Amino acid sequence: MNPLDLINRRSFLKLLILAVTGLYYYLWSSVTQRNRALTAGSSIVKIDIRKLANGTYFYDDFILFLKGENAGFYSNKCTHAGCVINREIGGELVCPCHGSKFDPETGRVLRGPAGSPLRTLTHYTDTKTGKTIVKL
Amino acid sequence: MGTRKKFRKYLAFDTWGWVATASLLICAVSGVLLTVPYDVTQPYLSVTRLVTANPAASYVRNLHYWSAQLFLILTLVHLFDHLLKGSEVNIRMKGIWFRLSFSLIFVFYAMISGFILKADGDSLQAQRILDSLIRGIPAIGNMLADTFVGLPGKFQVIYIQHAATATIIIFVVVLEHARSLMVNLKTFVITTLILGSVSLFFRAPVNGLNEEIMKGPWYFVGLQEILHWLPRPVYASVGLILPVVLLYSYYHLKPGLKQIFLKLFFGLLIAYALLTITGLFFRGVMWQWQWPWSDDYRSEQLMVPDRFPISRTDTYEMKIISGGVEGCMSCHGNMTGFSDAHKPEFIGCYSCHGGDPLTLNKSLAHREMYAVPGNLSNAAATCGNTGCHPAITERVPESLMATLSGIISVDRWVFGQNEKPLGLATVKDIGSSSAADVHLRNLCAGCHLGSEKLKPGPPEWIDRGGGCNACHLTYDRKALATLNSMKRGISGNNEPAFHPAIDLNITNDHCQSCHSRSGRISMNYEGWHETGLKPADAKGRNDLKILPDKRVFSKQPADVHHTAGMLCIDCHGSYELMGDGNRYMHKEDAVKVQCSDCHTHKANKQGGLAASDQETQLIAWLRGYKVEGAEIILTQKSGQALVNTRVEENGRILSLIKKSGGTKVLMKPPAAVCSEGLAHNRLSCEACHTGWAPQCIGCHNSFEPKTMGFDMLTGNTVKGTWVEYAAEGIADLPVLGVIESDKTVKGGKISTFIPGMIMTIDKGSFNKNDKSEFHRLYAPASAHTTQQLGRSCESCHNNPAAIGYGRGTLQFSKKGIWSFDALYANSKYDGLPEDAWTGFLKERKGPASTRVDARPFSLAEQRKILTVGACLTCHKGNSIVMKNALNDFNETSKSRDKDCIFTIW
Repeated sequence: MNPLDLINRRSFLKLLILAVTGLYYYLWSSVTQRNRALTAGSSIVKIDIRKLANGTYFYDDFILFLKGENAGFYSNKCTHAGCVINREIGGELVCPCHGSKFDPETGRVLRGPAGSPLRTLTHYTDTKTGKTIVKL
Repeated sequence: MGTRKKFRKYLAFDTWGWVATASLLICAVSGVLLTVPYDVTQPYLSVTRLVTANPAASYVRNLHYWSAQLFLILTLVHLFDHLLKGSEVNIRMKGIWFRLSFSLIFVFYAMISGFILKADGDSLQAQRILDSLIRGIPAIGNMLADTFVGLPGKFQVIYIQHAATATIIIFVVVLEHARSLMVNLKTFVITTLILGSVSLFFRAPVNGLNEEIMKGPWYFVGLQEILHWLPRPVYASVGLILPVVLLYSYYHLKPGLKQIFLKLFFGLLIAYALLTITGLFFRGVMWQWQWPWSDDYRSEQLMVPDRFPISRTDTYEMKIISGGVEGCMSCHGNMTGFSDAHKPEFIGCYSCHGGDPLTLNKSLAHREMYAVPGNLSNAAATCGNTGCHPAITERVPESLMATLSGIISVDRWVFGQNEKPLGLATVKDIGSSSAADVHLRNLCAGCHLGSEKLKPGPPEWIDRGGGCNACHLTYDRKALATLNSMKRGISGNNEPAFHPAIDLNITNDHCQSCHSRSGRISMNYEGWHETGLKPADAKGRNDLKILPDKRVFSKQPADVHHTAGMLCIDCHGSYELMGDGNRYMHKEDAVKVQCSDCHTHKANKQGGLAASDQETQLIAWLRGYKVEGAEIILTQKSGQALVNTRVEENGRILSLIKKSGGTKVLMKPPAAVCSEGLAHNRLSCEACHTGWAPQCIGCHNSFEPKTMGFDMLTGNTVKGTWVEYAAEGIADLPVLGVIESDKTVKGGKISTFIPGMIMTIDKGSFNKNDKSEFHRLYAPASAHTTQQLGRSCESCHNNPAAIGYGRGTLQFSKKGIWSFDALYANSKYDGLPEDAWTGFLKERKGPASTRVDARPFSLAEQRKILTVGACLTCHKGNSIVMKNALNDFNETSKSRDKDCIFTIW
C-alpha cells in the first residue's frame, strides 16, 4: 500500500503547517529565552551611602531610603504595571502612572492599585571599600 | 438639491475606509522620510533635534503623526460603518475576517509603538506598561514582550517592529480586503490637503523626560484610567483581546444576536470614551483627581501649536539639556548671573520658565511660559519639577507664611465670626462676603507667599509675595542694569545678558517687605521704628529712614545679633521658613528655634551634620561647610538642625558661622544673673533682654462704602473698603504677661506682649444689624530687639506699663500702699486706661489676648511683683539684699531693717 494513500493532500498540508508552526514556536521560545538570559546578566551597583543624609534617593534603577543606620534598597519598578517611581510626595512614594503609593521606609503598599510591596534589593557592604553593593 | 444634501454629499466624497487608506499611505511615506533624522540609539535627542531645528523633518513628523491618528479613527469608523450596514457579510472568506479582526491589534500596536519611539518621559513609562501588560499574558507573554517591546529604554526591537512588521501586516490586511491600494485621486488629494494643513499648524506631541503628569496617548488614556482601578493588570491584557475575539465571533452570529452584540460594542465604546475624558481632563499630577476649577488644575493640551518657518531659518547652535535639544538656549545660551545649581547649561530655561522648548520661533517659544517662575501658582511645575525641589514646593503652601493662619483666625474671631482665635485657616479660604473676610482682603491679606509676583525685578515692598522668589531671588548690579535697560526698551535686538540669581543669598531686605508691618520685627531687628512723619520731614536727617512705601522710620537700638552681623536666616532655618510640612496656627508654633538652643552652658541637643537630612546637607554643601565630623545644635523643640552652628568640646563650646561672610563667632552662655536663684525661673529670655517693641494704642476700623479701596487677594481696586485709623506708635519696653501653655515652668512662662488690638470695630458700617465692638487684646510678641544687658529690676517691678496697668506713675506710700496714676484717660468702653492690659490690682476677666493661652498677670502675681517693687523703692537692684532676695525672698525679708516698709495688701 502506498503510504501517500494514508493521508490526502489537504491533511498533509495541515500537518505541515502544524509542524512548521511548532518549529517556529520552539525557535521563537528559544531565541527569546536565551536572549533574555544573556542580556539580563547580574548587574550590580556600587554606592557609597556613608556620606548621604537621611532621606529618600531616586536612582536610575532603584530607590534608596536612609534613616540613621538603616538603609532600604527597593526596585523603582512599580509592582502594578511597571512604571518607574521617581517622586516622593508627603513622605510617600507615588507612582506617576496610576497613583499607587508606597511607604519609602518599608516598600509596602499604602494605596493601590498596586497589590504587592516594592521588590527589596539585596545589598551588602564591601569591607574593603566600605561601599554598599546593590544587586539589581 | 437642498443645502443639507449637498453638504452631506460633499462630506461623503468617499467611504471612510478609503480615506483611512489614503491616511495610511501618507503615514507610510512620511515614515520612510522620518527614518533619516531618527536615531534609534539616541531617540529623544534626535526627535527633539528634528522638531526644533529641522523644520521639514518636523513637518514630516507632524504629517506622520496626524495621518496615523486619522487612520486609527477612520479605521474604527469604517468598521462600525460596516457593522451598522451589515456589509461585513460581503467578505466571503472567513480567513479574511479573521485576519481583519486580529489586525486591529497591530493597528493599535503600530500606534503605541510610534508613541513609544519618541522616547520622552511618557513614552518610557508607556514602554514599561506595555511590557508589563504583554508579559501578563499566559504562556506566550514573555516571548511576545521580548519580540514586540524589547528591553526598557532600548528602542531597536520596537523600532523594527513598528516600521516593518506592524506596517507590513496592516498593508497586507488592507490590500487583502480592499483588493487595491489605489485610492481615488480626489480622496487622496483632499486627505492630503487636510493632513498637510493640520501638520502645518499643530505639532506631533513630544514632552520632557521628567514631566509631573504622565499620560499615555489619547486612545489609551481610558485604559490608563481602567488600570488605575485594576489591581491586576493581567485582566487588562485579557480585556484588550476580548473586543477582538468578539469582533471575530460577530461574523458568525445570527442576525438577532448581531444586534445585541452591536449594542454591546457601542456601550463599551461610550464607556471607554467617558473613561478617556476622565483620564484626559480630570487626572493630574501622579494621576490624582483634579477638578477644572481647582487652583492647581493642569489642563491637557491635545493640539500643540506649531508653525512651519516659511522665512529663512538661521543656523543656531543646538544645545542639549537633559538628553534633549532645548531651543530656548539657542537665543539665551549666553546669559549669565545664575547660581551654580541653576546654570542653564545644566537645567536649561524650560525647567523653570516652561514655554515651548522645541521651537526657534520666538512667539511660540514664549507661549504660556512662566515669566515669573516660583510663584506658588506655578511652583509645583517649575521649582518643584521632578528631580528639583518637589518636596519643598509641597511644603511651602502649608507653611505659615503661605497660609496666614494666625492673622485670619484672629481677625475672624475679633469680628465674631469664630468663637476662638483658633483653627487652621488659609488665604485660599478667605471669602468675599463676611465683614472679617472683606477686612482681611482690604487690610491684611497682602503679605503671603501665594501673593503673585507679576513683574520682573527684585522683591519689592509694594510687590510682596512671589512664592520662592520672595526669599531666593537676588538681583546683582548687572542683573539690575539689564532689567533697567529692558524697562527702558533699549535692549535692541540683543537678548538680555544677565539673569537674576536664585540662590541662598537671602538678605534681611527679602524679609522686610512683609515683616516691616504688624509686629515690624524686621525693622525692629535693624533698629528702626515706624513714625507718623512724612517723607519730607526726613530730608537731611540720618536718624530717619524712608521706606519705598513712603513710611518714615526713626532710629532705635538695633538687636545685638544684627549689630554682630547676623542675618534673619542665621537663626531661622529652612524648615521654619518654608514649613516642615505641618500646618500651624500661629508663628510661635511654627518657630522652633529659641534663645536657649544657642545661649547655654552646654548644648541641650546636638547631632552630627552628616546625620542630618538631605535638605540640611544640601544647604551645608551650597554654603561650603565641612560636613564630616561637624557637630551641630539641634533645636530643643523639634530637633531641627541649625546648620550654621558648631558644637565642640563635648557640647561646651558653641559657635555660629555667620551666613553673611562666613566668619565663625562664639555664642555666649547666659550671664550668671539669668539663672540666679529661683525667683526668675518663669521669665523668658525675651522678658529681660527685649530692648523695645513698637506699640500702637487705640485704633478704629470702619467700613466706608464710598471710599475706593483695594482687594489684596485679587489685586483689584474696589469701591467700599475697610479703613483703619491708627494712632502713632510708641517704641517702648514691652509689657509682660503669661503664656500658660508653656509647660516648661509651673504656672506658665512670663513673656513679652504688645497691644495687639486695642481698637473699635464699627461692624454696623458694614452690616446695619451689627453693633460696634471694642477689643482690648494684647498679643505675644517677640520684638527682635535683643539687648546684651537685660532690663533693670525697677523697669518691671516698679513700672506700671510692664505689669500691664498702662503708662503712668506708680507710687508706694510710707503706709505700705501702692497707688497708680494713669497717664491715659480711661476708655469709655471698659473703664481701663487707654493703653492698659489689666486694671490696677485687678484680675482681668474674659478674653485678654489674641491667644487663648495668654493672659496678663493675675492679682496674686501682681502682688508678688509689687511686693518686690516696694523693696526696690529703697534698695538698688544690684544690692546684696536684692540679690539675696532672688534666692529666698522670705528668708531675706525676715532680716529686714525695722524701718523697712512692706506692702500691705
